[in-house]
Order: sequence, then structure tokens, then C-alpha cells
Amino acid sequence: MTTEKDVFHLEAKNLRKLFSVKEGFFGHPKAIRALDGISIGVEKGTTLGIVGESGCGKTTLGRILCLLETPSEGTILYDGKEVQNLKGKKLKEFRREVQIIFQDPYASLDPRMTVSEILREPFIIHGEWKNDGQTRLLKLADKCGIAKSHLSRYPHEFSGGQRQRVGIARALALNPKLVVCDEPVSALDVSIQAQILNLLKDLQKELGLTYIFISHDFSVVRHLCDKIAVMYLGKIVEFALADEIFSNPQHPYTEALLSAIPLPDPEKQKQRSRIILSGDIPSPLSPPQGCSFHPRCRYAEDSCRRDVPLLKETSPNHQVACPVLPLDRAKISP
Amino acid sequence: MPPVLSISNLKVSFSSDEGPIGAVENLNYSLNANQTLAIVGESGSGKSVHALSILRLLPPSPYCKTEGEILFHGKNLLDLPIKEMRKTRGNKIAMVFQEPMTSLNPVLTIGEQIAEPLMIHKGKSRSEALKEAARLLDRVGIPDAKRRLSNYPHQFSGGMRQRAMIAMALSCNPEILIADEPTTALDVTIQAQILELIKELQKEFQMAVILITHNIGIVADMADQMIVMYAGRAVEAASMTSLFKRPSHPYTRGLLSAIPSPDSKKDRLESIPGRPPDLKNKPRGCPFAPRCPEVQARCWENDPPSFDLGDGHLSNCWLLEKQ
Ligand SMILES: Nc1ncnc2c1ncn2[C@@H]1O[C@H](COP(=O)(O)OP(=O)(O)OP(=O)(O)O)[C@@H](O)[C@H]1O
Ligand SMILES: Nc1ncnc2c1ncn2[C@@H]1O[C@H](COP(=O)(O)OP(=O)(O)OP(=O)(O)O)[C@@H](O)[C@H]1O
Ligand code: SF4
Ligand SMILES: [Mg+2]
Ligand SMILES: [Mg+2]
Repeated sequence: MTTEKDVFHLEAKNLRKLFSVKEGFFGHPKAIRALDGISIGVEKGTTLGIVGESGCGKTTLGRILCLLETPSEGTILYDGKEVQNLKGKKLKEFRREVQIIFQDPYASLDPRMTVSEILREPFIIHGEWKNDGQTRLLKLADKCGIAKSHLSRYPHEFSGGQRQRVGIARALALNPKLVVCDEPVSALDVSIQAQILNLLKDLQKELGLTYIFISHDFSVVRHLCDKIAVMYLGKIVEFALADEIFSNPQHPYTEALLSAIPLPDPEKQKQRSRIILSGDIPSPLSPPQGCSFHPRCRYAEDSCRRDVPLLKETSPNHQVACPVLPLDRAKISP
Repeated sequence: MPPVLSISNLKVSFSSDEGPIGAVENLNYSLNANQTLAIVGESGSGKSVHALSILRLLPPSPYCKTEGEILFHGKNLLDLPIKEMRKTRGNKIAMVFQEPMTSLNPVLTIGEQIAEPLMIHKGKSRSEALKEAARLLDRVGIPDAKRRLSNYPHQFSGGMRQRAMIAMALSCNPEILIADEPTTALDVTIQAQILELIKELQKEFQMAVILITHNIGIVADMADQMIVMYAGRAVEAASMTSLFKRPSHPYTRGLLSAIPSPDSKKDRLESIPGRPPDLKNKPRGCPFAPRCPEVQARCWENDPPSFDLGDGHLSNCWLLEKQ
């Protein structure tokens, strides 16, 4: 991390997002609290990882940061300036600089367009096709592992991983400055995954790109990220340097997550002790009182069931939202 | 006991302007009840296409041609009348698709979609089926399941959609579950829960499972047998223990060393340099030759047959000829 501390490339302050859904087949609309007071920033040229359980709000956060969705509350600062009300030319400029790689590649690619049409589109929208567009497009496709013979084909003719690479290429087409990567490699086999992660790293070195990297895969996150935020039910529960999260996980949820990473070796896998979380997974339709993790937490105390814990600095560059720290691991081991 | 599923000489090709695309070539395996077969391999190597061919969900001929035999309890699925096939699909053989959005209907609620197979195949009433749907959604870890039945797919997160699909596939207690990358969108804790659930149902109903994945960590935990695919064919097949003990094909070894490890940080990840061959005009010889670190002269000339290394461990690589 080389940049000045207090100027974030992209920063969110106190974001909240409510979705309204119908409850039951004839019921009244009810609010899903997808984001519940998220404040976070990423420094230029660095990678911020966001991990957390399915449904905890990662995609929603990513989409809001790219201005593809409006927050119910809160502000978004890009290079220190508020951006959520941008319009016209300014918005177009923002969209050019800030790109997203979508989680579901199939849903995000127009089935009626060939790959080369899909990749040409951003160049045309931003008036950059001109002379060298075609050359740039071919180079881009090659870098992202798309064979030349695939360019004239349609998305449905591809395998899942091939489609994902098209999504990645489209996001990188116009040399963006910041890319939100929503599970960009989870559909890829490990070898291609490695190629793409290496590519993302190279581009970062070359062009000083900033990434916000959403993933469930801790081993992937670890290789790429400088800092990691762990989310749980719409909130950040731990935020620290990547190495810190691995060597010194402090939140009980982070601890459980790390212990559940499958190891690529049947012998090792049998030997380790996994923390299997029990208890009800909380619902964003009716989040539990106090710490939303308490129904599944092995360490929960009375105060956890009563008060919402706030993020507190436990050491420099390490914030945790849990009142029972440090965890008394001896207390709970069987 | 005869196998539930037995595939021989399976070949799938798509036609294109520049000649046929050989997506699956000469695939052979058989699967017993209560067994789990893992299929791993390069992106684009034919894993999903092979799965879709079992359910006859590929586009029709002449655009797409499927040859060979897929025996389900001794009957060739490829010859089954459409009506019979419909009774089998989603009922006796169910599939979790790789991309949930392609198989969920955006204009139907999640509840209706899970309830549908129960009404069609098991003759349940709508309200019974919805009740069952809520129970299933709950088992795959969706909180407040009953209240979320009325949501539409776009109101679910990526991982929730994937779980809704798993619930749908499991609803009729299939004899064979084909799970195509079933947990890519799930974090490790929910992943563990889903895999446990699959194991439980497997025990309870003697379900056979085909698990397509690139997450070798999952495979290590779940599978009895494993097939490694490359460019449309199986290049190595073995029991789990044998495969991890002596990965024999250079591609398999490359794949194993490319796994990012959770307990160490490297500056660059290992990858297998190069690209898989163009499936339209595959070169002579071994399809892996252009990328193989151990390539020899004859690899360029002749396609290696499959060598038996003992205990049913098969591998298609010339290096293994003498052993
Ligand atoms: N358009 C929408 N309408 C209603 N609810 C929504 C909508 N989009 C998301 N949600 C809800 O908001 C919550 C957070 O969803 P989000 O997609 O952000 O999760 P996620 O962390 O990305 O999960 P995953 O890892 O499964 O992709 C979920 O409960 C989801 O059902
Ligand atoms: N409808 C189609 N028309 C033409 N080619 C197709 C079609 N569907 C798949 N293919 C091609 O067949 C090959 C095998 O695809 P398949 O989807 O089986 O790969 P996969 O092994 O599942 O890969 P991934 O891990 O990326 O999902 C790919 O090269 C793909 O481009
Ligand atoms: S047959 Fe030759 S090219 Fe093919 S995998 Fe073996 S050594 Fe490599
Ligand atoms: Mg998501
Ligand atoms: Mg596939």
C-alpha cells in the first residue's frame, strides 16, 4: 500500500439499502434490509476484498458503488467528490472509469450479440472505436483468454467459464480506473482462474488499477487483496489487512469462515477441525436484535443479544465489531 | 449390483461453418447407486455438455449430434420416447445447472418453480407442494423460507438462486443427481451445509451423484471416483485416493499445482501456459501436447490410448506406457 492514507479512490459512507418485497402470496410489502450502515473506502491502486455469506449484501454493495443502484441512505465519494447525483456527461465519464464484472455472466450478456459485438459496444459508446479499435479489441480478447475463433460466436455457444471471460474482457475494454469484480473467477477452472488473477494483478501494476473484489473464496481473495472486509447480514463485522485476517482472525464469524475452507487434499481435509455453524441463519426480513451473528455464535454473551456491536479498532488497521474480544477459545473447545 | 448409469462411447458435436466442434469425445464411465463421481477439468472441456446430453437437453440434430450409449438401468436414454424422457427428467434424474439464471423462469416465483415438479411427478396438490417447497428451501439454508416463496428470482442473491435450484433438483428424491458447479456462488459455510445435505440424501435414498466442479477441495471431501477432462475427453480416471496419491497425467498434475492455497500467499499463481486446442480442428496426436511440459516426439504423432495403472486407474498419456 503506497498511497496517502486519507484520500480514498472510492468511498462509501453509511450506506443503507432497503428492498421492498411482498410477503407471502397475498401479503403486504415488507422491507429487506440488504445493507445496514456500511462505511468503507479503497485506496488508489489497491485491492479491497469483500467476503461474506451468500445473501449478506455484497452484490448490492458492488452495484451501488458503481451507481447501478441507488442507496436508500448514505453517500458515495469518488476521488473525494460526491457522485450519487451525477448526470449526463459526468455520469458517462464515471461509468467509463468505474466498471463492474457481473456475478452471473449469462444474465449480463445480450444473447443476440456475438462476442465481438459485445466487446465492440463499449468502444462505440465512448467514441473510441475509430482506427485502432479492432486491434485493441483483438489484443484484449487474447489477454483474457478468448480464442479468435470464438469472436463470431454467441454467448449460448459457450461454456460457463468462456462466458465469464467475455464479461471480464468487456469490463476491461476501455482501461477503467476502478473495477468492481463480483465473483469474477468462481466459474473458472483453477488454471484459467490463475491466468485471470495474474492478468488482474499485471494490469494493476501496469496501470495502477483499483479493485473491489467480491468473492467467497478466501484463497483467491488472499492472493489479490491488500485489505479485506468481512460482511454479515448487511454489515461489516471485520476489516483489516489481508494478512492480518488470515493470521489473526478476530470476529467469531471470520474464524468460522476460515476454518471451513476446503483443502485440496483428502488427507489434510480429514484431519482438521471445522467449525460447523449451527443455529438459524438470520433473515434480512427480520434481523435479530443485537449482533446479527449471535444466534449462531459460540461465544455469544447477554450483551450480544441486546446491543448492536460497532466496529472498533483492536489494533492499527484492524477493526472488529464484537464485544467479547479477545475470543476465549479455550472456553468453547470440546 | 448393476450400475445405475453407464455411459459408453459418448460423443457430442456441434456443427459450425468451419466444421464440427467435437465437444465430447469417446467418454466412458459407469456409476453405481450411492456413489459420487467427480468430473473436473479445463473450462470448455465438455463437462456441462456431457451432463446436458444425459438429460437430452442439447439442441436438436443436425446442429448438435449425440452418439453412443447412455444406459439408465440398462435402458438407452438416447432412444427413449420424449414422453418417457419427460417423466425421467427432474424426477429420476435431476440436474443443478451451472448458471441459475438460465434455468430459473424470471416471471414465476421461486415457490411456484420448486413446487412444479412435485405437482407434475408426485401428484401433490398446490398447497402441499408449496409446503414442501418451503421445507426444501429451509434445508438449503434460506432463512425465513416460507416468507420468501413469493419472491421472484431477481429478488434473490446469486447464491440464493443457486440454492433454490438445488432445492428444486432434490425435490423429487432423484436416483441420479447431476450437480454442475453447484456451489460456485456459495461461501464455504453454506457450501459445507449443502454438501452435507447432499450426502445425507445420498445415504437416505441411495442417490448417485455426478459432481461437476473445478473446486478440487470439494471433490476431496465428497467423491469416490474422479474423471479429469481435457478437450472433450477423459484424460484420467481413478478412485479419489489413487488420483491424489499418484496424479499421472501431466494435465492433472498441472491442475493440482494451480490450486491457490489458503495458507500461503504467492506473488504469482501457477497456471498451465497456453490454450486448449480448437475443438474444430484438433491437431494430430495428444490434445495436450502443445501445452505439455513433458511432451515427447511421439506425442505429436499419435493420440495416446488409455493405460491401466492398476485398480482401475486409467490415464491417457504416452509416459505411462511401460509402467
Ligand atoms: N432487487 C431486489 N429485490 C429484492 N430483494 C433483493 C434484490 N436484490 C437483492 N435483494 C436481497 O438483498 C439481500 C442481499 O443480496 P445480494 O445479492 O447483495 O447478496 P450477496 O451478498 O451478493 O449474495 P451472494 O453471495 O449469494 O451473491 C438478499 O436477501 C436478497 O434477496
Ligand atoms: N450450443 C453450443 N453451440 C456450439 N458450441 C457449444 C455449445 N455449447 C457448448 N459448446 C462448446 O462445447 C465445448 C464444451 O462446453 P461445456 O459447456 O461442456 O464446457 P465445460 O467443461 O462445462 O466448461 P466450464 O467449466 O467453463 O463450464 C465448449 O468449447 C463450448 O464452446
Ligand atoms: S501424451 Fe505426451 S503430450 Fe500428452 S500428456 Fe502425455 S507426455 Fe504430454
Ligand atoms: Mg452476489
Ligand atoms: Mg460447464
